[in-house]
Amino acid sequence: MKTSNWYAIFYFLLAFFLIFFAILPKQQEVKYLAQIQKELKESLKNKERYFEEIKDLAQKLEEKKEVLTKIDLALPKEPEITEFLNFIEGKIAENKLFLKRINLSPSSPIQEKLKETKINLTVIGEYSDIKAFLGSLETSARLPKINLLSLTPLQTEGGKNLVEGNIEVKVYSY
Amino acid sequence: MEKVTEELEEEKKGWFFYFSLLFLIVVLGVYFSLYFREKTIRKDIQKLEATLQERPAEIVPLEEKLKDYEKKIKDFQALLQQHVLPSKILTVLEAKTHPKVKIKKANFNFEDFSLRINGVTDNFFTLGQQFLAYKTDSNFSEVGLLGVNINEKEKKVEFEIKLNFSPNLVSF
Repeated sequence: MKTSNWYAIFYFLLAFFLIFFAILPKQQEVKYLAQIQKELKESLKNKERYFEEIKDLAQKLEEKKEVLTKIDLALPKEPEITEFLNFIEGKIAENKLFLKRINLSPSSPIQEKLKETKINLTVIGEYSDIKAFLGSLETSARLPKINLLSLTPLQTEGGKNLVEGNIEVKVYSY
Repeated sequence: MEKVTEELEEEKKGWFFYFSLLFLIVVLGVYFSLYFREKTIRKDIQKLEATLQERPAEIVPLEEKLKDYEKKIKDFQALLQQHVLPSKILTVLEAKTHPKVKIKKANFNFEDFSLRINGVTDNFFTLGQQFLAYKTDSNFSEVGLLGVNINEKEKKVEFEIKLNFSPNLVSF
């Protein structure tokens, strides 16, 4: 046999060897990497979509500023108790009531971020005025939660049927 | 003649040599093309991974703000659900209280939606009517008479009634 024939057989076998031990594993590797690349591209697309959604939601939130202001009023960052007491004082005067006693408990956390402050009020006045005062508390933007209410009629004074009202109110803050 | 046959054989063997060489070249070509493709993909993957790690500076505060508001809105929703309007039950109580019954004390609990009434009336008949008025009202449940006392001095019947009221009665 001629040398060229040995070369031919060697090349042929080498080619087959390369196909089975280099090309096929490499092709599998490329296929696997291409799959990862595809998944990453998909993730990137999702991420971009997520960022778009975040921007979109932030935009929508800006448009609903009025609602957010109401939420912020009900759940201020600080307890803002003095403002609330000022509101109560105004409503007591408006409804011709007499503030007998007021007790304040320190703010305590009830949930992550959410804090509650308890206020105990004792007011004296006519029943209809106390009812009107309760009505103003109920509809306050601060959204106070009236927990307990105790009404006790007092002795009639100068033709007026006075009632003592004990009210436990909770207000919330962040 | 023999010489011609030998030449033809040689020619055939030469063709096999070139074919094998070409085959090897093609195989090597495929291998290198796969090699470079792998390299490119790996580079692209690295780039994609780096891009995925990146977060635009303006997104982080927006995300924080949205998360804050999401929690705040949920808490606000819960507050709205538990918000009560006590004046509504007062109106119902005004309508349901017997004209001859005088309420001496009324304790409302808006946590467990219960009410304790201490009252005074002229006789047991009026008390019975009052008790029945609460008992038959669909807004009230578990109406119970906790105590009855006769005030000899004033000739009155003193009583204490406990009842539960429907949360819908005071709901927002």
